[in-house]
Amino acid sequence: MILGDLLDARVRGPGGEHLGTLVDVRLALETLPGDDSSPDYPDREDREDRALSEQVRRRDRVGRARVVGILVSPRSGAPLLGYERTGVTAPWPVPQLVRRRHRGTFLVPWEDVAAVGPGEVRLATGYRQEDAALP
Amino acid sequence: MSRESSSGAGVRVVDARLHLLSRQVLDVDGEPVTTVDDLELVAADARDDDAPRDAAPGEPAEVGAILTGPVLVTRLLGGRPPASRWERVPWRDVGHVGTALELTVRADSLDVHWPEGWLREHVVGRIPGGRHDPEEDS
Repeated sequence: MILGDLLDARVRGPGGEHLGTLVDVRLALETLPGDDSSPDYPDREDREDRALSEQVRRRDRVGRARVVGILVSPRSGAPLLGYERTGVTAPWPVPQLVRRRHRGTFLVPWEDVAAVGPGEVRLATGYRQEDAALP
Repeated sequence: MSRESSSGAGVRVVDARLHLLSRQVLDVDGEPVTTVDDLELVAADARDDDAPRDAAPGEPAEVGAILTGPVLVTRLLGGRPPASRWERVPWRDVGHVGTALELTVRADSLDVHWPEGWLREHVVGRIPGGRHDPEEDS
């Protein structure tokens, strides 16, 4: 299975009802300690940059990348551009519009995915809907 | 998730499309290798096997490899390249994930650049002076 087969697939519930579009796949990267090459970023006080800086600038050595779940957007298959999940408010009004388009987006744990077919993902009975916010 | 926490390692949550796809891949020397065109998902328990098992829905899965290939046409017209056209970079060779993905191996050890290597050997190497490294003396 490759990630491209999952992205933009239609997501259906256990009874075949349409739930939305699979917009992203969430992964948990194992971070390994003991890396001394972490550079010190002096501009970390610049909180406007927080969306990228917190998640992306880290220098932790990564290990395995486990699949956590799938993000399902009920209204739109357009990319989230990251706005849905980081609490960014600028540049107005782009995040506001993207978030409005993707309101109701939820995370379904990978254990609750029952079947993956061509362009379609079916969820298991009793699937969980979790908050899509990126921790 | 608690298993990693108890062993002293942490967990960082990322979204594949947001944080990984289309990112540049650098080798251990910082040389650009390729970009992340796609990711291969494999069953989480088959990591060290020679032939990792394909990921199954609902069963623990993880990223097995970074895939790179001729995706320009398929991105415009839909579909995906056949499996034989993908070049794989094993995920165990990934060291850091930041604005770019940094590998722990040299680009020469990967098969990603085989057309470049072939051209170097069979075309450039036959041109007079083609085997001279211009940066060798500097």
